[in-house]
Amino acid sequence: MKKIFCWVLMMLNVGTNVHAFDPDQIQIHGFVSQGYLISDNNDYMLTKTEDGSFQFNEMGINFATQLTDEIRVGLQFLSRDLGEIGNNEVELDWALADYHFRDWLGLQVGKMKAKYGFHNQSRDIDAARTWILLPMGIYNETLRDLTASMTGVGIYGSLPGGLTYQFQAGSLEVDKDSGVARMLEGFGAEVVSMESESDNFTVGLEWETPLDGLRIGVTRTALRLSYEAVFPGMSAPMENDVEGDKTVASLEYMYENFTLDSEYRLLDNNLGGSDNTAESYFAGIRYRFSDWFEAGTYYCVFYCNKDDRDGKGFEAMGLPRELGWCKDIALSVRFDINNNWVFKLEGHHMDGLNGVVRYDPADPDTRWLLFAAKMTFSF
Amino acid sequence: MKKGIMYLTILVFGSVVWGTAYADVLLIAHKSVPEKVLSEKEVRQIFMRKKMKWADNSVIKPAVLEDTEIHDAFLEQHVGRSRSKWRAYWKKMVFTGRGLPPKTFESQKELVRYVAETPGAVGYINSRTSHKNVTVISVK
Repeated sequence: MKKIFCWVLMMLNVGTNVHAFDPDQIQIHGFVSQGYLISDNNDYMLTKTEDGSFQFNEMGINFATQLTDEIRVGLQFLSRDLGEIGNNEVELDWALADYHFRDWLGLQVGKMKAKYGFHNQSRDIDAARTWILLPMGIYNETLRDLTASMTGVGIYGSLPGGLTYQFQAGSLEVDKDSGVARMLEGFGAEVVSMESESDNFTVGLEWETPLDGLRIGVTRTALRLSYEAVFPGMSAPMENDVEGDKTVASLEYMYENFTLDSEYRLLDNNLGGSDNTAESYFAGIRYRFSDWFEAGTYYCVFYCNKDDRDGKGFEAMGLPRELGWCKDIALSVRFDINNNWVFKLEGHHMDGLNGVVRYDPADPDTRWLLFAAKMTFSF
Repeated sequence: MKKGIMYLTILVFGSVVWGTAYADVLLIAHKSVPEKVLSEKEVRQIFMRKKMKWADNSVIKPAVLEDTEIHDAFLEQHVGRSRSKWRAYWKKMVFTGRGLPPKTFESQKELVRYVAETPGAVGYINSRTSHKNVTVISVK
């Protein structure tokens, strides 16, 4: 790891003259975030939450500089763990060159955080939000690899009337160890290989409305990947192409110390072997009581198939019909100990089994509780 | 008793007047900056680095103060964000590769010097702070 950092610093032509928070030089920022998850029943998000788990963390460090007035370069390394995924392997989270030609046209090349809703790009940044877990119905942590970043090109800019746009095209970071592969394995498949196609894209439009503090947005994302897997009852691997098209409508309203958030998403996909549309939405409110204390709540609903909200399809397969949805009521408190340290506590009341990886098939607990605690240091 | 009420009144109103005076934010820019009048929205976009070019396509170089009363007043009056929301915004930007925060100064004197010496620079100070060799920007 040290070698990589030294190489990066050499490439960026810095010796000992490195200052964080100095825009004329290399800026170095980082974060370490360690959490704990425990549920009263069921294991959630590929993590042994019923036993309680510390396998829930993110650590990142980035280097960035303004090379010229118009060109900015930077990269970030990220290590994360969430139960069976991540396992604290260090990965390149983003690495890009940004050319800000005009306010209405900027160009990015490299590996970029993918635009998707209002919260995807900062999903690993615990210090930047009130909640510990983003609404899982829209920001599913186990399928993070499908939305976290895109390697390719992007354009962005501001248009008259408070409009901004962002377009990105490229490939995704998926392989047979990704969360989506783990999810297929949960259904009995043995994934042999998985790779991204190169024709993925995302386009987002945001409007800062004339009403102070209100912004709305829409994102459309097309995801394409292929995998080979041996399914139960088969002797040879079968090749599958997965197509997913996601549309998210987002709203945020900030009024004094209140912030209201809401998003609605439709996901057309063939991941389960046939065409299907998943539906999810959430609404939340946060209130900053003081410089050091904030509290918030949200309600998030996810349906695996919007044409089968009762989960009858799962029932027909001999599975609990509650696998077809998850309804999550979350309550969070956040303590800003100082500018660098943040501590959060969060409780979730869950209705449904979607996202649960281990439950008692004879008598599944379909209403259950999840608690999370997290401490983050960032600079 | 009457005197007590009078002193209390002076103390309370004096504090209000003092507080108002201290929170009187003045926007300043380098003399070469083409715009002398900005809208509230433009000021917000400049300091959140959503607007990065002046009208003549030269680069905007925003400068801010460290956490102080005048910084809080500026954020409240011109950015519409509390100090905590401002910090959260910049954490999002720097950790997602979307931008670098404005240059930060410990004192208003240092900020004025930077703005006076740096083409494209824009910042804010308390109106009672000496601000020679810079342009005052009106906010409409």
